[in-house]
Amino acid sequence: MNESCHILAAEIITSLGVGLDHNWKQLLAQQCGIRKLQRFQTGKYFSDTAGEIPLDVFDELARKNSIEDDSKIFILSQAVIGELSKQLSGMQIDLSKHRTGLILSTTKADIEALRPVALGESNRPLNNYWNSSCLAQAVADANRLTGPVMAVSNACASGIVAILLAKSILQQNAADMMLVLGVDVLSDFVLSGFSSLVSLSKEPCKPYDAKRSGLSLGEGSGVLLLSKKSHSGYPFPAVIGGAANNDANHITGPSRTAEGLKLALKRTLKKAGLSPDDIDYINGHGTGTLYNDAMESKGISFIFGHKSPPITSMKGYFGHTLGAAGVIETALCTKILNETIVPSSLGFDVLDMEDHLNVAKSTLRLKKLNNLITFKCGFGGINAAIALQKKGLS
Amino acid sequence: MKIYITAFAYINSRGFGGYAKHTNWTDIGVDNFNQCQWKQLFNSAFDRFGRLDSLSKHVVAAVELLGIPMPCNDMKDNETAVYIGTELGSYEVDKLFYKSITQPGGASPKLFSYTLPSTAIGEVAMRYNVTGPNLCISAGELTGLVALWESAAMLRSEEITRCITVISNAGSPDCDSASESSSYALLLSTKLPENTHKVICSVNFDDHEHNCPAVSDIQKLYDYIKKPQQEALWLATPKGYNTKNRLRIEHRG
Repeated sequence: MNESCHILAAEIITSLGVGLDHNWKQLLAQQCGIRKLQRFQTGKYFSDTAGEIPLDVFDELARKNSIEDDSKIFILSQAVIGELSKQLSGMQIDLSKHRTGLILSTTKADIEALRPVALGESNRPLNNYWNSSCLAQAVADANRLTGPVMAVSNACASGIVAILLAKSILQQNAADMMLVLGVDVLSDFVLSGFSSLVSLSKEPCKPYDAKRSGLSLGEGSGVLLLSKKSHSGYPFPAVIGGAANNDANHITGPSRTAEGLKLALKRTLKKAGLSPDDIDYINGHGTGTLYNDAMESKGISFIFGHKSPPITSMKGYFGHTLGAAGVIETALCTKILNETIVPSSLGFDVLDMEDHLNVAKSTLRLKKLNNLITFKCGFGGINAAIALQKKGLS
Repeated sequence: MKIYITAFAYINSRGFGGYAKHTNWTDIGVDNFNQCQWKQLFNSAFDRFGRLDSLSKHVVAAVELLGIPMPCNDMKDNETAVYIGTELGSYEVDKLFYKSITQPGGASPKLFSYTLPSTAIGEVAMRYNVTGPNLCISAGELTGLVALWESAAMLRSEEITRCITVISNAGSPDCDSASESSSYALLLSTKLPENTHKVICSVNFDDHEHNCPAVSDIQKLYDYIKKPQQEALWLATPKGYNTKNRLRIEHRG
């Protein structure tokens, strides 16, 4: 029952800009999209920096995609699907003509819409998108999708869990194609929350680095189109395995023994039919917090030993996009597989962890890059990983 | 692949109860339940519920009613999954956290930790040492149906042998009272239970053409398990799923 599914197309929007190709170039140029906050009051939060998308970009995205709704999360959702549609028209794929479903991956959806209700100013939220399934249905309706529609909320692992769920639905033959949409926006709610946990870095985050001091939040959207059938002429890879496991250890803190991550990596390899030696690159979670990154090093060294493949985190480029992270970073992983280039782990300089990690300090042009693993971890002790394989090898 | 329901539990405005080997609906006292007991369950400083948010309390309390033995050592169980379906997610604690932002003490880290519905999964996982797959899903009014369907699909894939599936809502936008909340928990298994549980129902993916009416409301499943009026109950295929399969639930007496 463990069949592969194929990524037919992918698009992203981050604080680095609009489009997968544009973001890829920014990564290769080592550009950082983490800047001083513009939309939010500075001095209020533990950190004044984040991977924030400028307001004029939101306005431009709404105008270009004829979006009348002013909800930022709806704009990012629709705009990234708009970008994807450009690719799909070249591939002669019309989503509405197939049984296409949608899985939304988000942590807090449009949580700002709930503010007046929470503060007793009104008994009506600003919109219904505070509820992730309402947002999912609105996006599905706007794109005339007729397949299954649902939202996944598995914290920062949501994106990878959503990809696994889409794969399961395709394997059941319950849909022809599945869109996996990851989206989260910065909000007073989220900035205050991470400030209260004292887990934000005052400067752009430094994943895996000895001087790391916390995470940088980000916002953005990513979308993947998955199908059981590949599309001739297009180089996107296959999702050949994946797993999600729990640490059963702590609600917010990572496991000191990396229990869940070890299991998720082990099961991902087993389901993909690969050995650790077959993995050419790892896209880690790499938030830049002391304990998360140490946990990752423990899990990776347990599975891969001292010959671990290069690993990078993308959080140094556009911050931690929470529920969107798994989808945005998987989209960028498709570029990594296609180009056989691994952009450096921005912010990393010196490793000081007990366990070995082969962090890429500079851009790597590899001789062989056939298989990679991307994983994300989140509140509730959840760890999720998938293995991607270059097209034509599976 | 055979799938069994080996325990079922619920908490709603009518009370709480369950059906496992050592319990039945009446001996838990479902008919004698009142609001006062509800408050005792959730609103007082219960040791084991003290730090939990409303959703996690609903989820954990329902799972406790399944009668799964607490682990007696550090052994992890990676063959059991925890799947949660929740339409409202962390709505209640989201409002509380918002209030805390505006208060003099500032945003509460304790509340923020629970503003993701998946933390309820973590609470269950920690209690029972289960490290298997997790899913927290929301699909509007079909949330329960989709959660159950995907739990059965995960079991059918043979990745795991048990799934703790909880369909839970804590509070509602229209009515903040606990009486609008509900939680249903099921223990699904592909193995015949040994000591602690017994087979209550079998669950099959049924793709035969038939004209039997199907239901999409989990309350109907609860009614059927409690008092079967017919040989089998069919759960509807979730909207959008392009398959003839239905879940056929058959009571095993």
